Amino acid sequence: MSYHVNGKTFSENPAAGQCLRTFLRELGWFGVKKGCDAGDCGACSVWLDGVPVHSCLIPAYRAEGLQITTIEGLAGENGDLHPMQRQFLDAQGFQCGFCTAGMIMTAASLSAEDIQGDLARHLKGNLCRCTGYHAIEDAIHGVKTVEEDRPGASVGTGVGAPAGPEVVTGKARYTLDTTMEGMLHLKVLRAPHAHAKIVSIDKSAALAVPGVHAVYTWQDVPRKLYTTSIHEDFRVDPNDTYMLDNIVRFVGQRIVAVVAESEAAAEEGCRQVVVEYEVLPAVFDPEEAMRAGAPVVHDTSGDQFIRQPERNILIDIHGGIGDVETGFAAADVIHEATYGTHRGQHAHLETHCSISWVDEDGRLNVRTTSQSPFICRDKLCYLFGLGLQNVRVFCDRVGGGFGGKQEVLTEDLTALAAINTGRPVQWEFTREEQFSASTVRHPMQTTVKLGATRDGTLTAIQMRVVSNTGAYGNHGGETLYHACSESVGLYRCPNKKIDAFAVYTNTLPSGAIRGYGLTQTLYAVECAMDELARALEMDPFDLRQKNVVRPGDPMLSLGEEASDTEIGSYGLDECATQVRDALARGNGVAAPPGGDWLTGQGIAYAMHDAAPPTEHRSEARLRVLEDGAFELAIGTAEFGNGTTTQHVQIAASTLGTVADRVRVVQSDTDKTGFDTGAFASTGTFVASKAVWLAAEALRERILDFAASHTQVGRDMCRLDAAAVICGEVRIPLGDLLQAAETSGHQLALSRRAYGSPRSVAFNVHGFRIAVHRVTGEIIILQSVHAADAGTVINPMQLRGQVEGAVAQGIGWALYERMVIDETGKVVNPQFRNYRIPAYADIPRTEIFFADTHDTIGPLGAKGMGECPINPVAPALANALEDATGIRFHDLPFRPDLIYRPIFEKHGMATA
Amino acid sequence: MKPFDFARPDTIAAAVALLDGRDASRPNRSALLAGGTDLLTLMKADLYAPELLIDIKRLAELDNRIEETAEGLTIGALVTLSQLEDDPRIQSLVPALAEAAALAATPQLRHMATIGGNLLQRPRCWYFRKPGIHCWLKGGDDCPARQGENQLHALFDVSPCVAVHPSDPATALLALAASVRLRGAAGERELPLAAFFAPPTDERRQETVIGNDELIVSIQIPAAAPGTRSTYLKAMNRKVWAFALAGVAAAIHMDGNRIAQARLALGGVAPVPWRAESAEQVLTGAEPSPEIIARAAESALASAEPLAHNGYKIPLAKALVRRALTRLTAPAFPGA
Repeated sequence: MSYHVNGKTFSENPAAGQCLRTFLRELGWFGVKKGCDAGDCGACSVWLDGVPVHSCLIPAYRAEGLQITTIEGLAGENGDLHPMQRQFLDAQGFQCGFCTAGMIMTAASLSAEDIQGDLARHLKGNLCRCTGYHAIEDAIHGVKTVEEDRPGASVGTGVGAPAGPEVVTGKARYTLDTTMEGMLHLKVLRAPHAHAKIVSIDKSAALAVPGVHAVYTWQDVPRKLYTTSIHEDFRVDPNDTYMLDNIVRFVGQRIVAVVAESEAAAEEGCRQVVVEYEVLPAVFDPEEAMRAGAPVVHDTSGDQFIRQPERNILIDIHGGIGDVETGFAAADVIHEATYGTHRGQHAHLETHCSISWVDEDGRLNVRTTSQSPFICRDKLCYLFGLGLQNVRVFCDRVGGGFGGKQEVLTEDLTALAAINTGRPVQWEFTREEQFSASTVRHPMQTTVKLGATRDGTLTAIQMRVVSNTGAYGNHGGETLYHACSESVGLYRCPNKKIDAFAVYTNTLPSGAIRGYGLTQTLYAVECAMDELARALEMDPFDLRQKNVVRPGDPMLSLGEEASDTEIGSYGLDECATQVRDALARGNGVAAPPGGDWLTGQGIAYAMHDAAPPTEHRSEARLRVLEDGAFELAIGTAEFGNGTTTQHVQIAASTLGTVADRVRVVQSDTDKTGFDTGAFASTGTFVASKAVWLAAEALRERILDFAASHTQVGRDMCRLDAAAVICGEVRIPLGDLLQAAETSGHQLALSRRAYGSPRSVAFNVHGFRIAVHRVTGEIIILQSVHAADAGTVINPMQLRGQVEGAVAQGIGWALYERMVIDETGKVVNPQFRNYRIPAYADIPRTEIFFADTHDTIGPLGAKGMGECPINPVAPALANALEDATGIRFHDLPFRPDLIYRPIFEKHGMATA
Repeated sequence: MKPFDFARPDTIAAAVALLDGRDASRPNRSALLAGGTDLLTLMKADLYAPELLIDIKRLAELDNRIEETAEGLTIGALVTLSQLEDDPRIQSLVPALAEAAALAATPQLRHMATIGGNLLQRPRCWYFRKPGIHCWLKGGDDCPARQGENQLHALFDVSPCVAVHPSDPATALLALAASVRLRGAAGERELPLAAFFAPPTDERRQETVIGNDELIVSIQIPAAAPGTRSTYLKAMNRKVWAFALAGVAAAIHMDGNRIAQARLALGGVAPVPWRAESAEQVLTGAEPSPEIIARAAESALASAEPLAHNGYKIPLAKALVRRALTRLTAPAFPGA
């Protein structure tokens, strides 16, 4: 048998039961990705005889004799990019890039007619979670959005990502895009019960499976409590988790890990493990869990962090300012309602995975997909009792995160197995594990009570939040604090009261996800503000404008204590005006004809701290290289958020050069300084600040040395693209470096930045929608978003961040829904049943940036990683009420969940 | 996936001989592999673990062509959904089928998926697809969807299983009065689609009556009266690439301004593609009007028995029926 791949012939034979995707990867074609392994996402798309197919659903044998083309074979033999690859580069039609190879393979197979025609239909087999599809659409249509870089002027320009050429050619390396001699594979057996005690585990049959090396149970792992949650400050999460436990707290919890020569053998090993459970009563609803007599998820023997174990309360928060009773007494109008938000999954296309091995020096190495290699390292050191010097954790390119990878979910077990077996060990989550056993957005029930005088002045805000943290408390406390801060701090009001609870239940754990708890409560507050405006017969913009915080105002929520948060720049008014004007202008898109469509519009505001209240720091190391370029070493991981591009832009601008001349070494505990992690919107606010400080300092050092070296006045020295110019003399930087080293000077230094004080970012979203009066189908006619990110470092990338967040917001608000049955099982753990938006689903959003300059952030910039998702769901809810006259309090607004009241109110007209 | 062997027989007879119809003690031993788009997902989810895959995609005796004769169209079992979507004869003679094929799955899947396999695909019910849930269709005692999360499930209660049939083309073919030609060890037989699909029973927990030793050779669509119009409409949760919440296929033949013949089929509402005969009776002989169309839509759903969470499908399906019939009976129908 022979296989023809990208013009080369291979005589290797596939293994029994192997699909084409894994076979191609074994042959070294790592451009073929796994997003779902089920024909849903398209990341594995290749051509068979020129026709795109999902390689995950083709037995490898079947491709025998056919011409197989992967992304690596798309470019010409001389390395010339295929036009579609060039277009994806020119429009930066990617963020993390994990879907890109498949997306390009599909796009490159389309005719001009297909592209001009029904592109949505042709693209329906390829999902992207990062971009919101606008940049992909631009790429396919040949629109160029990447801008030319000029020396010293990189900031403010739409410079392309440094990894772009690797991403579009399939050469970018993600976590598992590597081979290692002697690799073993790990799989876990997961719990079938929501709450149980393990009575016994018999692993003998599993150990007898050919190829199985080891089977680990709770008796084989360090008996140390920890949390999977990644924070530098370990005191903000409960230590309530064991690597493997003898108590089961949710369906899907890891029970036994099996390590074998192949994934198939490890899976077979899992099937052969016999576990005897004593099933315990379980509780799924947080209100029930707080009642006396409810099953207890974590008993009093656990971490003292847990406030009231017997009532399943992980943490409760009570605070406020003034006196709400006085406030409500002074109100002319009071509105009160409860708003429910559901679970949502990150659905990054690269699932969790890691490879661990012990090197010849006895050090543990971990290659992982993480938003924080440093904190991951610290956790592994703690779990295995290792010194920091004995562990290296690093990330190559990461395929999307959105908070899901602010968690240690695989590294502990691969490390254990690597230490134990002495072999490299790999573990890759299936998509099903991603849905049923990683983390989700905390479901929250938020009751909001607002009081206002007739003129719209708020007199009291009261909020009660019940957050379902699931079986474990990772991120349960911090998301709750975040939920209680900006949501209420956004509005000026003398009287505020907040009571909030994070509650354990026997459901899969909630965790960090874009918005981090605030998305849920802002949804509630912004819906309530809209309903209050209706009750007052006021324009919803006017009511908000009357009450929002203004520059100089303290942003108060839980109390009057001093805060490190300030309004470093204020673009909220401008954002509101932009959205208001755009909606008033309209965009010419009307509801479909026929009189069956109800139309309406809605808006919402959002405010988001530019960094977390917990510790956040980053170190940038910068040096001149022998060839006169610069090397920037920074701990921040790149998972499509674009921080690497910003870092090189900031360094280049400051050092008078172009971004191409700044080479990045990143996210490796051996090679860079400490970085808390790429989360909490800190890539710009903290890490970029470190880069900026380092670049400023290095520029001064270069100029100082050049002045003394050339004996030219310091004020006559300046940097150009590749040299220092001192009066009439031009010294290439490489030469200057040599001179410096000869004379014992270092053209290298590092600077650190710290995430305090913190600024705030603002966003406003507006929708005009049509709702079918019979079926409840929603069509978005116009979508408008305005963002205040301070100085825009890269307008193209910032637009991409906003578009991606808006698309995730639309998916969460309209149809993504994790269904958990009465036994606690996730019943829809696949993309076929948990729908994330496709290209066809996402309207083109009009995007505006406020023209502000932040006084705290680097070069006046502040982060925009999360905040744009926050106003999306409430703006849709408000538009839905405007269209139908009905307030829907609970997300999502899927036709099957909302049609009935709409039909009862409007359906009888002609039906 | 568990390891499997791979065979590529040269004849249908050889392929059938490899099937394990007569070895009831090892029902999972072998499986036919055509496009593989459903089989591989079942295998990867550990729901099915055949030891032998019999590749029939390159079988010379099985056709991947579409032929037109005086009797109608013959569609070889290996014709892909992309072929159906793009073929000018399918587009002009039976547009409902071209539309249904285009609305199904993704382009990548349509390049791979065959029409034979499409008719034989298993339900997408999340309980059925979830390993570890031993539902009735997989040989268990109960259907967890009946009392569970059944928003995507059947409106017509005709089987212990309330999963819906996932195929779009099957609904279109039912409205087009198609039949299926099967060949097995005992020879060849032809069954109307209405008899080929049958709600699962205790004795036969599958959606068709195909024998364990049979395969689909072709699909026949009888020639319709000249001027017959057809269409397929589908409602989804997402705009594209989702299984039908409800699908409607209709074929109408007008005689002057009266409906001479009507065939109406619904998808996404029953364990098998669902023919709405009572609605056809309302339409036959009638002059189309909004009232007649509304009556037909009511009649098509009259015997629906919604479960706890799928009641929304009733107005949805009615709206689709009205939309399809309005379109097909419009005087200005394209091509009329």
